[in-house]
Amino acid sequence: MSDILVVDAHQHVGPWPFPGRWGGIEVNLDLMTRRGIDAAVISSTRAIVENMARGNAELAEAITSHGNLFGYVTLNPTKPDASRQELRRYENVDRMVGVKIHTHYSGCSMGDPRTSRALEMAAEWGKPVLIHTWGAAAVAALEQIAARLPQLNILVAHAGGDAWREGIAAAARQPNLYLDFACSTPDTGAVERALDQIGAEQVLFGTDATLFDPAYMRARFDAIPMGVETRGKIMGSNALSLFGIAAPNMRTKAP
Amino acid sequence: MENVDIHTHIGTQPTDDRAYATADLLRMMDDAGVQHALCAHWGAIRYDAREGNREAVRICATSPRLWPVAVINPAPHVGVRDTIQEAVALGCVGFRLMPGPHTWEPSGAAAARAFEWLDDAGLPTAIEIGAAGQATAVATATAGASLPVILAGVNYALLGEAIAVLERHAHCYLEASRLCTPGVVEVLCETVGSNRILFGSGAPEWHIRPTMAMIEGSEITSGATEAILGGNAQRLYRLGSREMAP
Repeated sequence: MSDILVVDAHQHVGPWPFPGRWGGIEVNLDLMTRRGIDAAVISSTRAIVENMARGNAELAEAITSHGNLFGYVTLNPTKPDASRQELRRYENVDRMVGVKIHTHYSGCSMGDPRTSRALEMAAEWGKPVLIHTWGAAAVAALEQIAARLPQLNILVAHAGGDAWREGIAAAARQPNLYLDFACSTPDTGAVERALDQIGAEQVLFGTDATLFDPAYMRARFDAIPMGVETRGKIMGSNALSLFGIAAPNMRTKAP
Repeated sequence: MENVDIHTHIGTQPTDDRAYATADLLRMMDDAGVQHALCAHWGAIRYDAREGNREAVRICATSPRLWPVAVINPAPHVGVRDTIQEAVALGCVGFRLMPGPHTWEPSGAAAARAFEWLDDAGLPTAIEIGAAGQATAVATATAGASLPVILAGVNYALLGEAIAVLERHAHCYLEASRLCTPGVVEVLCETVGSNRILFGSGAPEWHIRPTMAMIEGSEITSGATEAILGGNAQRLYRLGSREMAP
């Protein structure tokens, strides 16, 4: 397993109001080193829960000097004009490789027309979206959007959460839906079912760090029997392809 | 030191399309390096507590690695004392209570009576915490009791309250089944001490390894790791000193 490149497609930078050890990008880097993660695609906690523009700017600055860190531009569906500005601001910043939308913290459900409009903006921008997706209704709404925006690749954060079965079924019908299983409830059989029903290409390793310690999700994936090729896709190469990240030069340590 | 998982299930539930046999649980324990597991039966949680508890005892008798935990639902009130006493007589090593799924309040009168009967039984009692205020209510309602109370299933959003409860109530412990925030094991050891944290997983529906990896990968002493992964459970539940009823 140590030869497999590990890319965490779901990280955040910044503190959370829960017991734990928090901080800035140094926490991400420390956890990645300790848990054997080579690269990460990160969104700003501040941009999600407080100030979109300030958080995005802090993130872009924080990842600049770390070749293995990449960023999501967070959009807030309640602020369409400001969101459009954010996309323009990072249009030519290669290290910002995707868009992050959080339906819960923005107060816009998946079925809210404002969420659809934010996803349409992302589709025009031309990079993948990581979107918080929890529950059967959210999965159903997202599947409809994915069908309407086939050019937009969508990473379904938490794979639907407690509706991971529905998440897998939706990804089976929509090839532009990808699944990230980061969750504090590590259901057995979920990733296995995804591999069985949709194959390895639409499953990406994500941890939700730094909200969660990557050790938690790594242990979940390590416990699932799978071939080297399949593991390589899920743990890293799928993310490289989805985000258009070049593999060389990103590995900074041996896991 | 042998590892002990204090939170596992046997049986099935209607909302779940996965089907796990007891052999699956044992295989998962082998894969994860867990020697012993405390098991509650889904039938006791979902259907009939007494019948399900008997089934847990019957299944656990088939393996020396499985230890039955009796599910107690205080909500019906009538008959609850008998359920507790029968579970003790059958050899259950502890109790598990679920205020959320069973719709009772820890501060309510039915719960107060159940806590008195559980105290008489003297077995460790794990209570699942699923909402803000529940941990405090549980600790307050059991403050005069002698039984160890284990706050179970506490997620990261409710953990701060659980820590505050453990700081104030020496009879309370914490089940480590959803510890996933960075540094949380170290924080717990510093604030409440490693002797009050017990490893649990939620297997077979949840993977065993994630929580174990959090404990093993934390910067705590090997003694603290051993205590959390098994020593505390062996001490509290007195595993090894009991014989199953025939």
